[in-house]
Amino acid sequence: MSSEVLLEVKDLNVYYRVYEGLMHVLDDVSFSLVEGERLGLVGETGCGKTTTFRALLRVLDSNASSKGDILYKGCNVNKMSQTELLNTRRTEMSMIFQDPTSSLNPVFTVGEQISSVIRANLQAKGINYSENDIKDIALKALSDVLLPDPERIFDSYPFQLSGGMRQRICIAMSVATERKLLLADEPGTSLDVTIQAQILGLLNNLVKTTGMSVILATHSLGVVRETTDRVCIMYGGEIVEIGPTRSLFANPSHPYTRALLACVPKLTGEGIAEGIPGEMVSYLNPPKGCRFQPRCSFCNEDCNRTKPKLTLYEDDHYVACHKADL
Amino acid sequence: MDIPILKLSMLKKYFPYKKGSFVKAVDGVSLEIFRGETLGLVGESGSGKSTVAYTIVGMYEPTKGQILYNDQDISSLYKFRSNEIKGKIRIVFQDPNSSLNPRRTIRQILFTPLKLHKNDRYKGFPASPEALLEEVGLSSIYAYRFSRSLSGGERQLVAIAHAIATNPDLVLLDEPTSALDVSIQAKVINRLMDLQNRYKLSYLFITHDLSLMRNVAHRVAIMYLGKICEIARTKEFFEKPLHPYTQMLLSSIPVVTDEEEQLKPKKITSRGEIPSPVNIPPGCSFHLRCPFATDQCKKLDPDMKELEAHHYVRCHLY
Repeated sequence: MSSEVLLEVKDLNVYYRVYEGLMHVLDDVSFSLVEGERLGLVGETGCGKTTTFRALLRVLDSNASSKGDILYKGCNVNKMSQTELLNTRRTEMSMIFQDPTSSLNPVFTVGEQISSVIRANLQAKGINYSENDIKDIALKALSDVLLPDPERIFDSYPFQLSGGMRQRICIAMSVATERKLLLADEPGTSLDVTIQAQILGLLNNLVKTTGMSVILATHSLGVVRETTDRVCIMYGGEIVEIGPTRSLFANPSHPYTRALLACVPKLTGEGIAEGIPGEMVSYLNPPKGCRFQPRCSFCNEDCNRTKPKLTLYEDDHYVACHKADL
Repeated sequence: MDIPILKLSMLKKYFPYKKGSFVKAVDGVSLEIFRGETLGLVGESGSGKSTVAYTIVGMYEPTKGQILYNDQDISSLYKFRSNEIKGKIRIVFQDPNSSLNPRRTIRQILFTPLKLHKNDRYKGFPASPEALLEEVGLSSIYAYRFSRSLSGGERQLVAIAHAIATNPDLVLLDEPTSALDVSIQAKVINRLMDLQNRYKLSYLFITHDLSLMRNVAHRVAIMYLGKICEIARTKEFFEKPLHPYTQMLLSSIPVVTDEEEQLKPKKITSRGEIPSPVNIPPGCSFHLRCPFATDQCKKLDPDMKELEAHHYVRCHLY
């Protein structure tokens, strides 16, 4: 693994303008990613994982505004012109969306959709191509994701395929042409465990062979533990803990991380924890200090007043908590 | 634990499909559920687990086979069942957003089963919507709200309150927590366990989450393409999984601790997908994905065998 920084996110804030007021969703999210690294983004529903991804690609909804620096290879994505942005999206980054059924167009064949992605990529790179080249690349991508009979799948419509196959097609579309960064938003969530295991194995192999970096957003702690090098735990639009996967799972130190890990049903059969009391933060009116403080059993006045900063806990393992050494 | 509260014998449910072919959603399921027991029914999507539940509750009429409730045949549609049976077997659906009427308050929703089953309840059972809400751990002020103002977990608790309102014997839980986050899931599951202890409820817990079943179920059954391929007590099931499909499922679970990693069978990696229930492969329905498949498996469908006490497997390997 080279140590060159590919992506650096500094103090990313995202706001949504809604009827009731201004929702402050992402609050000073900062992280970085080196080349060939696999980073996990974990948190419960509504903690801002997908918003982070959309901000990175600048595909946020029209009522959203984003502030902060997203440095991709040193260029600020938030300040790019439309052409630069399109080129980046066509040649550098790609995203796998959460729901493979709704991210594929039902009225075009798989072949047409995957070809258009490849065509855009080749045009952006200024490479001469023929339609046969494109089909070859597409078929290779389909067989790379272990789809049986790529020729038949190339000519079929998404509804003719199963959920697992559709998800593979979405992956094939993102990796058909060489990319540097893959944003995978819950790639296994809508699938069965056996299919999920196959998809994650596939992603791992692709990362190994092509050397690209991956950010994997999921709510499943188990998936992250098995497929990433480093993990960010998100709560209420903030990163509360970030560290190498091994050390974070062996030694979780933020109260939220610990509570979340305790809630996961274990194969050892030791019973199920009581759950986390209280409710998810309201983004319209987030608490002043630590956003987890209303649900935290260790909180004191400090937590009420000041927001904890990410501080070094052990090797490369950062925690945003006033009481992390508890 | 001697007389089963519910017994299915060779239950089959086929749905007509194109030109004389059938979707064999449930293809010969036999199982027993005892009083106060949780039976986990686990399988991939398309294995027919929900169809089993819908048939038990009377939403579908079985194509073949029997459903016995306390030794009484109830294999008819819901509308032909007696009021008493309707109140004794209840169901909680996966998605509480679509199972609660958005135009009625929680109080109105919970009042209907209370009113219809007034005479079947014994004394001391919660008799008002407010008492029911408190029974599942919600504040009684929710009674005058609509379901839209509740969170996902709270809605599911209301659906559970609705199911237990008639003082049932058996509650069918059709993936009650798979739409919820783990921290909410923990709350709902704890509440369910609590209710089970208090009212001696039996649960048929349908899910695809095996780790959850390790902590919740007394017995676990694995379903594949409309058939049960392994059924055992939870402890034995997880310590000594026998069927190759069970081993494949167990080895695919993403876990969070090293101790759990030790418990996973290492032998089988997942391959292939569940075939369509229209063309079920001949012989053992799992042979296309099974690494141990032999010629015998391609031709002959194995029978259910009791290998150890209460541990049944449907596989030619044993």
